[in-house]
Amino acid sequence: MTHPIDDLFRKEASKLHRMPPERVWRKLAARLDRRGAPAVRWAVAASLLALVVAAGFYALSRQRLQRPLAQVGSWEELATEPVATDRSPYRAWALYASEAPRRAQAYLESRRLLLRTEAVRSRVQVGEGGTIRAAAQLVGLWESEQAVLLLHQRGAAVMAWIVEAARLKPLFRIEGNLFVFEGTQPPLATRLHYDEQADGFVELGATWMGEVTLRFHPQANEWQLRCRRHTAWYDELSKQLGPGKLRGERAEWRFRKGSF
Amino acid sequence: MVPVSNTKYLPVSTSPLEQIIAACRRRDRKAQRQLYERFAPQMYALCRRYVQDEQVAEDLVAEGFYKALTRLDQYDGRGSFEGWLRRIFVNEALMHLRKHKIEWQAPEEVPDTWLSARPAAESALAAQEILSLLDELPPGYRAVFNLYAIEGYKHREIAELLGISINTSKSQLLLARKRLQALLAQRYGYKRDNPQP
Repeated sequence: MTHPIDDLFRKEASKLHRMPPERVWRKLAARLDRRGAPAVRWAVAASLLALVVAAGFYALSRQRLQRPLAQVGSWEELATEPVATDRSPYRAWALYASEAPRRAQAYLESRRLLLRTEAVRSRVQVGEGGTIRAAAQLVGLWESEQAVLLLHQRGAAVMAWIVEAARLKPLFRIEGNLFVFEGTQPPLATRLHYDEQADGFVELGATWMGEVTLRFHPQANEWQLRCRRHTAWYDELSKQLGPGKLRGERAEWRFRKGSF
Repeated sequence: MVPVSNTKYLPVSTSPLEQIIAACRRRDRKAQRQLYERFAPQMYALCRRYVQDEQVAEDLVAEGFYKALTRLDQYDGRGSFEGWLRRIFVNEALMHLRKHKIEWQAPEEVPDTWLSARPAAESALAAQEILSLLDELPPGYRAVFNLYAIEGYKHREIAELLGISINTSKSQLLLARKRLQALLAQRYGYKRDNPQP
């Protein structure tokens, strides 16, 4: 026996018809046009593959799995009380905006700023007059004008920033060792692991747009590329890499390290 | 003179929809538009039931039709085309909800009196008002209620689709009904019946 509320809504919902605005069709038609153009299609496939290959090469060439993405500069004991709180990090960073964007400089300059900012944030946790021991680490470089910085106390990430020439953007959210960049929709995530020996974080893989994940399995010495089926990502990847191993809603490809 | 049966020369009888689908497979833009115009109103309403934001619902419609039109080969013509299309759109809506992490409400006591209620104002409720009532539900309630009450999925299937437990699915449904009944009482004088002891 069905519930009367269910009956009511089922009956009325079936009568509910609404034509979407014309712009929906225009958007769809434009997308279908793009799909129809073979040259464009191949260009998309090629660029997607290039992205995957580049990500693999990038990670491999830097041997990021074995050592930190960048050395931790130095640990600093920071007194929390004397830190000034009236300066916005954005305003402070604007001091550097007029200079030509250089990644190394962005990192070096912003490091001090980050430490100050974090010291302010941690004050409540450590108490008045306490100290925190923190270091900033460069964990990624995006394009030529952006750097991703991670601030951590030993073994625990506390804050991550994306640094652009003109400003600092606190766009990261941290969930355990998963760093989720919220500037994209859906968010892009990078998985980091704290390496005690190296005293820094190393990258274990990445997720693009929530659909494609690349992870390294050190024991098998293999890269694992996974992708949701029934997505445009899968359509393009399977053209280049074959159908892959199908596991439920996901497809999977594995590559020996260095075989890209 | 021997009469000649012309049976084999008759064209294969195809419904207009089948003809449109066949033309869509050949990427005939006019046919694609016809298919869109025929089903967009239902699919838009479907998406709108799952998401409150009109803009998001429009995006889901565009994405769903793009998938349907580019994967028409996967439709084997045996079942209902609309059913096939609906599954695509339900999946699109759920994918959107999964990406935006639904907060599942904790189960709470639901009095039996609510569950035995009868809709006294049933006939007065217009289809459009359905949307406004569903909009009042939190995303978790709305997703489960839509899937169970309107699409006809079982709790086991809903649990799999949404990555939740069967008990969570059941409790979200009860809470959704409870909330809807309260709203109906408030807006349309919906009456509750107490069950017979």
